[in-house]
Amino acid sequence: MKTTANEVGIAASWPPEEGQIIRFKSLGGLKTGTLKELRWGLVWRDFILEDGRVIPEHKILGCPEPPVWRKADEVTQDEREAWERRLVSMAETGLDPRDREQSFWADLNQYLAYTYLRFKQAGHKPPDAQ
Amino acid sequence: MSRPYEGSEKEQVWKLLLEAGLTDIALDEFPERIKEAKQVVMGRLSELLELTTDIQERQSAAYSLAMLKKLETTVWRTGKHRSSD
Repeated sequence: MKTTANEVGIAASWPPEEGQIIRFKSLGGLKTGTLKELRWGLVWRDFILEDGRVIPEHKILGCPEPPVWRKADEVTQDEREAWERRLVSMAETGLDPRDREQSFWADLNQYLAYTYLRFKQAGHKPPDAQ
Repeated sequence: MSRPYEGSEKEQVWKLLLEAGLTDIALDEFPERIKEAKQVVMGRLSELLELTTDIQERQSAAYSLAMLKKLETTVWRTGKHRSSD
């Protein structure tokens, strides 16, 4: 595949800029897309591509490992509730979370990771830590 | 926008989610992953029920559990529709 000056990998900085072509790991191997915007989720950043696909940052080629993630206790109640309302709404419209790289898959994936971390870590805190 | 995890804490969280299979859920693993998240919430909820304090977290955990149950039902229903297509 021909690389362009706009493709990530040439740029030394992370994260890539809007309009750059990014490569990411997917089921069928490596895929490419043009970055439209970066959006913080409940745990990690999602890369929104121009064709609507949503790719978690840690799937992008060149992402530093481990990537930068938010702490579960930094998510506000309002943000969490808005996320939950969106999930319910997507579920009720009949979207299938198994449509990989689409919004429902991405949002449900983050919600499960966030919920897992939130309660797993809370359970491991010493009694006087709260 | 936020204060991220740092150093070894960041690596621990990464490892925790990797081991739980929650960094990238495969197509047919949603029911199982939701079940695991429910177990974690239930574990925390049972701890909270023994405490007389932190009613807010208890309510929040109960709400999250209900939410996961709802999502579990939806995913199960959608999967059933797909397999009958």
